[in-house]
Amino acid sequence: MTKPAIAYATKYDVIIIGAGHAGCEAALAAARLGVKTLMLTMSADTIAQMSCNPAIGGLAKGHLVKEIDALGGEMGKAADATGIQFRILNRSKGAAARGSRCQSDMYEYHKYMRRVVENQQNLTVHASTVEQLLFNGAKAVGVRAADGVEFYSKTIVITTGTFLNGLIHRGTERIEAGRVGEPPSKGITLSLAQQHLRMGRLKTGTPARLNSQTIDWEKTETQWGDQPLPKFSFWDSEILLRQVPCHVTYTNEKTHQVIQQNLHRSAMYSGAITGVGARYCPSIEDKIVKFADKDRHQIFLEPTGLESLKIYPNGLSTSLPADVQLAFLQTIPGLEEVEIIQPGYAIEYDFVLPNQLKPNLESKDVESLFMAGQINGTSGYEEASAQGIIAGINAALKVKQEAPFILKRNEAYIGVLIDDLISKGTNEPYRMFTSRSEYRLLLREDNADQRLSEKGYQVGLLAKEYYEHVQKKQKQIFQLTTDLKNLKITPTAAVNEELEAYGEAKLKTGIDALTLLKRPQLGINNIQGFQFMKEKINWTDYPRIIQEQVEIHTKYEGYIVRQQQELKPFDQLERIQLPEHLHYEHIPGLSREVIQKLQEYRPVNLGQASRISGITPAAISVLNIYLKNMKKHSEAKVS
Amino acid sequence: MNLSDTIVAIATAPGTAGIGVIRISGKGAIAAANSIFHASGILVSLAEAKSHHLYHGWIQDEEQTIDEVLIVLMKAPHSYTTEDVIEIQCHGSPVVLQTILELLLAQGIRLAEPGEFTQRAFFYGRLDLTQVEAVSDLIHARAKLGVFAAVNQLKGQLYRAIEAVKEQVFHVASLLEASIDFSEEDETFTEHDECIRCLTQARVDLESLLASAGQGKIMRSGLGVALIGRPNVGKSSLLNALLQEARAIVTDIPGTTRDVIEESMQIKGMAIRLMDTAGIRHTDHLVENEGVQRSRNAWKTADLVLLVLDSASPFTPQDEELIEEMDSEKTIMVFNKKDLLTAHQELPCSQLKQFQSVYVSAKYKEGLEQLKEVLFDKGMHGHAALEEQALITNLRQQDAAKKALTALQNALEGLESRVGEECLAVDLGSCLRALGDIVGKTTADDLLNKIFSEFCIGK
Repeated sequence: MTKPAIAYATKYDVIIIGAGHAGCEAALAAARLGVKTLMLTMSADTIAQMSCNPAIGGLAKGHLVKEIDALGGEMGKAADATGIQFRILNRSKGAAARGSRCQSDMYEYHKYMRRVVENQQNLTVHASTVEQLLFNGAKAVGVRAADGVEFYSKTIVITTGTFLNGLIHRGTERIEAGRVGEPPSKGITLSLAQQHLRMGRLKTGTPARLNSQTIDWEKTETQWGDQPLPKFSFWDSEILLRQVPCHVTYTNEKTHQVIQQNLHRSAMYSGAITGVGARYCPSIEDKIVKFADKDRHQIFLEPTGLESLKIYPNGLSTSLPADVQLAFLQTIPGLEEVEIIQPGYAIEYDFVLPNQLKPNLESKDVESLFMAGQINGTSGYEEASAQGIIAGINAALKVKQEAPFILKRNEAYIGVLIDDLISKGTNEPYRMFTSRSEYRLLLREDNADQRLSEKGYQVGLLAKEYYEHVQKKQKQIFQLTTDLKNLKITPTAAVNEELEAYGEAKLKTGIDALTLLKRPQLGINNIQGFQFMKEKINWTDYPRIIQEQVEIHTKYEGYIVRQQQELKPFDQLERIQLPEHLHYEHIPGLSREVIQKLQEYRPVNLGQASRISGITPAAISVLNIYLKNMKKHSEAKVS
Repeated sequence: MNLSDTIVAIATAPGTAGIGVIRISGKGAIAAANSIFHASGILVSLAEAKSHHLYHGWIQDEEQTIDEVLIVLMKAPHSYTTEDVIEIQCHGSPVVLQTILELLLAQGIRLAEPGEFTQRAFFYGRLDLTQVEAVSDLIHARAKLGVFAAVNQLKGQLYRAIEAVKEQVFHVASLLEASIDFSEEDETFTEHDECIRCLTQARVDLESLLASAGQGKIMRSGLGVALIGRPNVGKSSLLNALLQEARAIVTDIPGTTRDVIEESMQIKGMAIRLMDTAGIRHTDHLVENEGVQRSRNAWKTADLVLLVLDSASPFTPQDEELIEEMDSEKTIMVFNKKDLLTAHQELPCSQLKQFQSVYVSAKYKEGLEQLKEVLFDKGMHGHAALEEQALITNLRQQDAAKKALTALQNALEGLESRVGEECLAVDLGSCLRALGDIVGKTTADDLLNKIFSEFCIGK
């Protein structure tokens, strides 16, 4: 029985459905761009909740956090304010491979984000369950809540995570839920289906939460964070909380035995689950079946908060029944007497096939309807937030009738993420990896501010002072680079003696200091130390961070130039636009399969078309020639 | 080019022959053939007939029977183009072929452009680019070795050889990517030595493939051989002797040959282009001088040079000048007039040992078989004409392979000097892209798939 409709008096510019990581960034971005924004969530107590592991960042994910931060998003600041262990992963590798990660106090993270969202100008948070999307033809115009209230807006952003038809599996048990203890959302899927959006089903899993008082920590390895603390945000954030360690332990043959014997009771292996899980995030039963020759698997015991007893055992996600979970946990060193606070589970949920989206994350078919986060087939808080900020910005720009905000593949991992989703789609929860970017050496964590702050400022999200700060930084980098380039070193006996003493080859001819810095074994630190460099450059003018930037860029420059030259032809394809209503079926020379793919994906340019699986280089040539002829014809007509 | 049409063409060469073949490909192929074909058996319609079978019957227009034919039916996707293909084997009269073709065109299908059947096979992914090139080479092969090279390529020999190199590089690239993206896992991905071993193997394989480019080109396009020497040593006599006909004018007057004469012959299936040239000497004579210029041009473009010398007389300064200029790698010294060689005559000095030499008599047809042997071996770069060998046969493949090799060398140097994995990945990426230009691309997803299939990833 549906309740009678009551129209809510206030009309909004943007409605955000959901208050997870995507929803928060989307709502903040829209409101900060000055449009009237409403955030609808089932409960204000779960804003920015960490449903899975209590951590932010990681390899390639840290890149996303820093990019969000450079654009003027909140995630980096929130992570800094609530982190309880900070590390830089791949610290021993090159700058482009490094990624920042922190353990978060998930309760503090929620509190921080709730405070920011609730205090944001132009943003209203309203606890309400959305039951239906309202359309006017093929245009989204509002939502209807369970209590019959209808909210109207110019644009809508859906960020519902795993809530769409969420179904939890644990053994043979099945519970309809969006997260443990929270009801799923059923109406939104129906509304989307009404608009003929194609949906798929994915699966993800989470481990049991353990009681820290029942763990014998002596039997585990301790892992502390890095010192000095590496923070995420480029701006004036601070790391506030007490720092604590993580602990490491391992499964063993006994653990594997218990799991093997109970495999038939796992929801995943009994065939109850139809959704597709991610290969990089397998359940413990998956790992044991697929990699039977491994005699142990590493487990990280991660704290969930300074005041919390809950421990998150990273590496043990499972859909086995609770009794088996306890049995296998208690075979692990340190966990012999462990108690479970909340058992692990697998969850299946609906997602919208993301190739139905435009680069601004708006639906190609339903105007004003934007989507971000897990609903688009991704996994991870960082991936969700990255889409959230882009969807929020673009929903606001649409309201303001301004051109969309799109990041390219060679500008940001956010660009790679969205382009991958819309041009290739995904058949497992999509997670970012640095190998997904063909521009890895360019898209680093350390230069995210230099890459994106101007864009963030121009779109109206990043404060002017931050942008000016980056400009100043870039000037200094340029200055030091120029200084080094202008500094000629002649191969005098003194110079060569010093180089040799350092184990470096002698100079034969004069070179500039920048070229010397290109030598693999010489860092900017070493160069500074040479007597022949001391007087020449006023090193105290340049803070450590500037020196580092010059060093990184100098080391990578040769590779970057080579790579850019090689990728130039591909870049050019990005600039050849494909008209929205191109009749592919009438283009001579395209095979049926190619036509079908192009009709389904409707790429916006040739570059995107070339990345769709099944589109051959030959087909791209055919399209290119066709477009050129079309242009020639239309020009001929005009003249 | 339009892939949605049905196309038809006469597949056999023009002229009268025992059998002629008409080929049809496309959605409408079966219907078009069916409307003019009357089967001799109980077959009602080709549409219901079994694929990959031969059907006997008659071609008829509205009034009369045109010819007795066999029809080969190959239904999609198991055909040359992957579309429905019909081949009509009729009698090889140009009139019959033309009449049947016109009957078919009247069914609303169109005449194929040159190469269009192969083009379709390519666009539908049945042939890769190396195979398309092979089809063209095969059709245009001038000698048996050319056929060998082309058929090997069509069978995918080159494809497989490049794939094998790519596999090695791909393996290392995936290890590097794993080591960057999954360093937190409890797995060891890259062993320095293993990377070096795989990449070195890839480099060796690629180098030997590239070394085959010379041989491949010669098998495909034949060997250009220039006869060079001072006047009156018997170059034209030698040409005639090799061709076994009096092609060039031979006199005792030095400087008889003024222009380059080109003729074709075969040695053991290798196509040879013989170029007889004007004798080289310093001269003020305008016409002869132009002839000498042309000789030098032929010399430059030739794959091999036969430096013809006179056994009957000692080296002249002109001979010595020529020997000085010759590249011993691509030169065979031919001592002609061996019948006039006397025992007391000075034998070629030891500094000439680096040149391969043959004694012949053009006049008495002696030593010619030995000369042919030497020519063939040198043309094959000492390799045997192996039927199952992968060869690089054209410039496009060669360029891509060179690019891949450069990238591979950069990566190996990088490995030696311990540059970061992320930098090595750049070089391996460009190596894979270059190899992909020959056989097909590798994507980031391919790399991830390999990593996930081989390592236990994920906490």
